Amino acid sequence: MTDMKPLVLRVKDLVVDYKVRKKNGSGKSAVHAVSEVNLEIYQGETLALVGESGSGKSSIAKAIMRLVPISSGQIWIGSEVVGQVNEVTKLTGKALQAARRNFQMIFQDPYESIDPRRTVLDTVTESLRVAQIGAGEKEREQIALKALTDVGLTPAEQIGRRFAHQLSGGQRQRVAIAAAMVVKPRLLVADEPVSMLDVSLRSGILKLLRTLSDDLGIGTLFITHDLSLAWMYADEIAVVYLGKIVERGSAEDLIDRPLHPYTKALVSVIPNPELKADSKRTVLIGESPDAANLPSGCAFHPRCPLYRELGEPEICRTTVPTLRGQDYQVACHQVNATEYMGTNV
Amino acid sequence: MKLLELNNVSIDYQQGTQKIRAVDDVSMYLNQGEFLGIAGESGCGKTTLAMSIPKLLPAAASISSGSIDFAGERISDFSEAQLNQIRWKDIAVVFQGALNSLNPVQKIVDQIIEPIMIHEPGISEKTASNRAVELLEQVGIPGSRAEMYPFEFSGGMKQRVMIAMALACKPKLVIADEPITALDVMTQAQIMDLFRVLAKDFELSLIMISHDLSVLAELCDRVQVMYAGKVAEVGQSQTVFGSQVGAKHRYTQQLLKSYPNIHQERIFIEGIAGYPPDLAKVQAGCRFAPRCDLAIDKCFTQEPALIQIGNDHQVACHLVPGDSK
Repeated sequence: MTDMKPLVLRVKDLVVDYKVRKKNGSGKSAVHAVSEVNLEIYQGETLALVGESGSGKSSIAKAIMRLVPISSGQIWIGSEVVGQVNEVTKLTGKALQAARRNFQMIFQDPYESIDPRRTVLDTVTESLRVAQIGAGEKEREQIALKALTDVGLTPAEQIGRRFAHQLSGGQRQRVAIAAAMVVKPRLLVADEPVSMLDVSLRSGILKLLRTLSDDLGIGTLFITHDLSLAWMYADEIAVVYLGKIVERGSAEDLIDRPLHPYTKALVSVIPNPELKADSKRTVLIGESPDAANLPSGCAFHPRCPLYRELGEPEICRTTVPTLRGQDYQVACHQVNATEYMGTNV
Repeated sequence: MKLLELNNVSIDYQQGTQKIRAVDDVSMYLNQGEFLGIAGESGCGKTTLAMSIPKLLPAAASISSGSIDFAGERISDFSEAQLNQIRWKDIAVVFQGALNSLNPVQKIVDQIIEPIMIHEPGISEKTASNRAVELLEQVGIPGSRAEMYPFEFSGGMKQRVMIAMALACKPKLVIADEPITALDVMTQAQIMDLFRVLAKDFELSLIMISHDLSVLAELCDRVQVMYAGKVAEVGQSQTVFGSQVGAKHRYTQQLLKSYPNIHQERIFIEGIAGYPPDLAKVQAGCRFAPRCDLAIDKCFTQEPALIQIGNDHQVACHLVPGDSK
């Protein structure tokens, strides 16, 4: 299905470690925020990374954006030449700056990501200046005004003169989208783009993102804690637990028939407005362990209902499960992705 | 039995020389042991309304008309001294974002003892301390952690502490403002389960404020949807969210369509065009009319009253026929 479309993101064996001071104060130790993550996103497609806070989903996004140091692994991103991916893992300085036009990011809180001292128009033209697009200021302004119109900020001349504090939350997020999209990136990383907005406004922002991505042929990495939003918006979902992808597949399959016990629990607690909570919910006990103190074997085993149900099999405690399968992947010793019906594994 | 009854309550904010009506002529009730959810977007007046009950409003806000009766007493006429007698003891509040307002340099147990010592003079510190540990265990925190400090607790555990504090004096009513909003999905589910358990253990009556209708639908017996300072729709959760009757106000209907629902067809969420009105410039007619796709001429000239349309189900909309027998 995806074979025909050009690749816009490839992540191979990505590892991100953070150095933290040891509790006893003697030196530093490494916290594995992201361990051996592999991802691909094709043009026009959206992959959602779903996980709880501390799962590492934002670290994956920041590493792809080259905003945090990468400990090991490689990242390729689509270039100006359609179908061609370039490695960005080791780019620095001017080369990294120049490559950035191909991968842009929008953040959860547009108030923090937009420079409060710049006008709306200047925010968008700055994006063009950095990407070295447009022959001069005049041309950049014309492109920026069109971009503002495209994101629904009209009349663009008038709104272009305003500052971030003179806009509503929804309008600010539209400015952030205009600044990201105006350089026609190959990849957009959207980190919780609507979670700060009132529910009635979310659809407008998401529809805008969808339309622009389709028109420009952008691939999207969508970061969210909200599994039902991921299901609605994305083509594929990858569930992240303690820095690892534990299950990945088409959004519909993953919600309809989750295989990993963690995904199963997450799906079961999605509130259903039509009925009161029933006994089918699996509320996990406890909280995600500290990434600095990962449990042995499968990191999920101390909270895993299946592990307890099966009489605490030793392998779950001793061996880290690998992500198995092709189109549909799951990392659990007790679940076999090849048994999953309806996918070619 | 009614524990709480508000009649025609209006609340104004003084902003410069202007008065802004944040809550306009709202009547509502809460039965003993009932869970009521108040829903609506930011600025709809849900928090202002709930905080008017223990009169914990910001300095610029005041109740300009209406009455509030609680446990047989007209508390809207109470003096500040009288209110201090019932605050926390009878009506406790879990404030929005409160999990970040724990005192970082005080042990958890000491922070729970404080309201007990204030409201139950003469109680020994030992007894209060034992009660605090007991409370922590009731909200799912091992008593062994009572001597710890807030930084040693996760967000979910801090919220459990806030709930334990609210329950410290065995209040008749707890008001919880977005108690699970900042928490992870699984922790949200844990806290919702906790409220269910506490409902039985403490015979709790709860007003829960949330922008998330599906959370309220799961937890609350009744749900009240507010829009621009007014009640748009109120009814039993099963009535408003169930498939038999369903939401009748266009705003409630569209709010529900603003959430993805994994139990239905996979379609793009719809949202609502436009923005809520500026309360400083309220137009005639129904406040939702400018955003309503079904609005007729009357909607722009005449304000709809909240009318009974079924068993314990009220809606303020010209397009919904009343319960005319």
